[in-house]
Amino acid sequence: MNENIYEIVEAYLSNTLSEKERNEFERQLSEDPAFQKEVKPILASELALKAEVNSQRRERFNQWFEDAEQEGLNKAPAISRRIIPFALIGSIAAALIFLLLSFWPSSQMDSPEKLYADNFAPYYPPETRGGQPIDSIRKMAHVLLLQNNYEEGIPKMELVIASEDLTAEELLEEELYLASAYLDSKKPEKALDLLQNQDGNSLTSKWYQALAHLSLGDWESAKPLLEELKQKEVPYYGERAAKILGGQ
Amino acid sequence: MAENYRKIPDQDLLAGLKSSGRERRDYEEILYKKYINLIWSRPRKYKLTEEEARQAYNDAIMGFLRQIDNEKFRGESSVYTYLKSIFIRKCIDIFRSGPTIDIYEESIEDNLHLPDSSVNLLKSLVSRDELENAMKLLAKLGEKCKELLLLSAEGFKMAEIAQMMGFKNPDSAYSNKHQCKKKLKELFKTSSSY
Repeated sequence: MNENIYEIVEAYLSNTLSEKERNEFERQLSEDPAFQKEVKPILASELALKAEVNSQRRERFNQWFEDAEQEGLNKAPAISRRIIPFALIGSIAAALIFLLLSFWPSSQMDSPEKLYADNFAPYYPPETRGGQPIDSIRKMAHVLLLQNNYEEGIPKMELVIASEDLTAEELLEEELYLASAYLDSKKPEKALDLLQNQDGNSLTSKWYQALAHLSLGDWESAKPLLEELKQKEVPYYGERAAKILGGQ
Repeated sequence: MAENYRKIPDQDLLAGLKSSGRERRDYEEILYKKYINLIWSRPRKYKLTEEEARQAYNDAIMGFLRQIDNEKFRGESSVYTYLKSIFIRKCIDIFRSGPTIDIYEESIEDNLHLPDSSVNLLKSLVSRDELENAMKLLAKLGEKCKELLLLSAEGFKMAEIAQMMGFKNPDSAYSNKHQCKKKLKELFKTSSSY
C-alpha cells in the first residue's frame, strides 16, 4: 500500500488534486475492491475529524455567547429587569428621558440606509425539494436565488419574467423574488423600477418599495408606504413598519 | 475590546476568516460576537425561544463559515445581509423541524467544494453508521493524537501545531501526525464494523 495514501486522501478532500488525478483516484475507488478497503477507513476518519472539529467549534460558540453577555455585547432584556431594583430603573428611565429630550431629534435618528440594513430580509422563492428535478429555467432561477447566487440567478429570473408562460399571479410573485435579489445585490433603482411598474401593487411589494427608498436614503418616499403598512396592520411588515416609524 | 468588534470592516473580517489556525479562530470569534444581536431581532412570527434562536444563530455562523471555506460567498452583499438571510432560513428550519443537528449532513456539506459526482461517491462510500463509528474510534485514539489530528483538520499549520503541542519542530509534528493517522486506520481495521 502506498505510504502517501494519507496525503492523497487529504488532497482529494481539499480538492487540490488535478482533474486527471482525481478521476484516476475515483476510478480506482470504484473498480478496485482492495484499494477501496484501504481507503474507506481513511475517508471515514477524515469525515469524523471534520465532524469533531465542528462539534468543538459549536462548544466555542457557547463559550463566546457567555463571554458576549459578560462583555455587554448582546441585548437580553429580561435579565436586567430581574436584577435591577425598581427604584434604580425609575432613576435610569428619568435620566434617559431627560437625555432623549435634550438631544432629540438631531443625534438619535437612524439613517434611512441603516434602517434598510436592519430590516431587509430576502423574499425567497419556494425551495425545490430534495430529489425533485430542476427541469425548468424557472426552478433553476429559484435555486440560484435561494443560494444568493445573484450573478447567475438574476439574468435567469429576468428571462422567466420576460417569457409569456406565467399567470398574472405568478408574474407578481416572480417579480417580487427578482426585486428582492436586485435589492440584496445593491441595485435598489432596478428594484424600485420593477415594483412601481407592477400590474397590481401588493402590500409585500409596498414593503420592498419602502426598503428600496430607504436604501437610496430617501426617507420622504419611504414614509407614506410604511404608514400604510402600519395602518393596515399587515402581518410582519406592519409590525416592522411601526417599529421603523416609531424610531424616527 | 467589546465595541471594537463592531468597527471591523467586512473586508478585514473576510480576510481573517480566510486565514488559518489561531488567526482564523480569532476572526470566527469576532464574526460570532459582531452579529450576536441577530438572536434578539429574530422574526417574531416563528415564535422561537431564545435557546432555539441561539441554535439558529450558531447554525447560521456554521453555514456562513462553510460558504467561506467552499468559496461560495462572492461578496455581492454585505456580511450582515448575507448572514441575516442564512439566520432567517435557519429560524424557519427550526420552526418547521425543531432544533436538530445532523452531524452526517454537516460533514458531507463540508466537502461541497468538490464536484457533485465526488460528493455523491463520498456519500456512497461512507454511511451515517460508519461515520458515527469513526467518531467513537477517535475517542480511543489517545488525547495527544486526537488533539494533533483535530488541529490539523481545523487547518492549523504544522509550525503552529509544533509550537502549541511542544514538538521539536514542524517536521516532528508532521511525522507524529502520520503515525496517528496510521494508528487510527488500524483501529478501524480491528473494529467490527469494517
